[in-house]
Amino acid sequence: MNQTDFVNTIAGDIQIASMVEGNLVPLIIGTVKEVQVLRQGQTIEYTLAISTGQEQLTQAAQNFTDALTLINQERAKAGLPPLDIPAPPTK
Amino acid sequence: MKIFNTTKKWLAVLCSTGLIAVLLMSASCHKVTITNAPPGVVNTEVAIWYQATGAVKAWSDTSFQLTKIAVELHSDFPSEKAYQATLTGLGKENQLGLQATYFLQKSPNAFNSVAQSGLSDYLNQGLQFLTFATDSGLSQIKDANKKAEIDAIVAVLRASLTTIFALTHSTGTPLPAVLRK
Repeated sequence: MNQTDFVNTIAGDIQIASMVEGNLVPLIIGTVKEVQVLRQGQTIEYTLAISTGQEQLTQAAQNFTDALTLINQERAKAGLPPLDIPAPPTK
Repeated sequence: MKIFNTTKKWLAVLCSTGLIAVLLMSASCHKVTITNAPPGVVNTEVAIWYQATGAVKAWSDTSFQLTKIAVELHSDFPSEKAYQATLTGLGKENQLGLQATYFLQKSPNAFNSVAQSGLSDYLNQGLQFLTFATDSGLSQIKDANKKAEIDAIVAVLRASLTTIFALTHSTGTPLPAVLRK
């Protein structure tokens, strides 16, 4: 695959759909298949929606925490105090 | 050739983010239908909550990615002061993202307009610190390829935040200026 082929493959695989929901979502990026799913809509069972959503939030919390940990390592090298890493709320 | 390489890198970054499906799911504000919700739980609120979790996950992915790149490019910043200011901005933005995440974790069955407004507050504050971080140092990276990579990640990050804005505001609400950049 030469460089031109690479670009063509990517261009064929990626679709940028603008103005999907009026003017509120100006840039949406996805594969052609995913854009088709978007157009068709999605139905999801309640229990699955909750478990999937909570799983995504667990991963999000880990990402934000990892980013803050990395930043605090850099601050420590510079002799700066660490930024607070918010703790999860008590249940 | 330089333009080609920059474009290729930009596309590669987009492909590697892993955000695509999440963003699309989140963007389909009025097209997710929740079935079998228990009595007293509003289907549409769960649908918005579900989409918001995807957008917040996308926010976290790109925010972590941007933080890692900022650290990798330490020597490319114009000064140590600019570097630390950028990290401080990113740190505050990550703090708000984490608080938004905890906020969402508590509210799957009651994501009403008040809760949506609460999430929007985290979004607005996070955007201010993201802008501070980019203005403080990320926008001053000289290397064109590295700058293109940063710009691509920031664009996807803004797209995820725009999705949250769309979910938590009624159709027709103008985007805040910081999201129109």
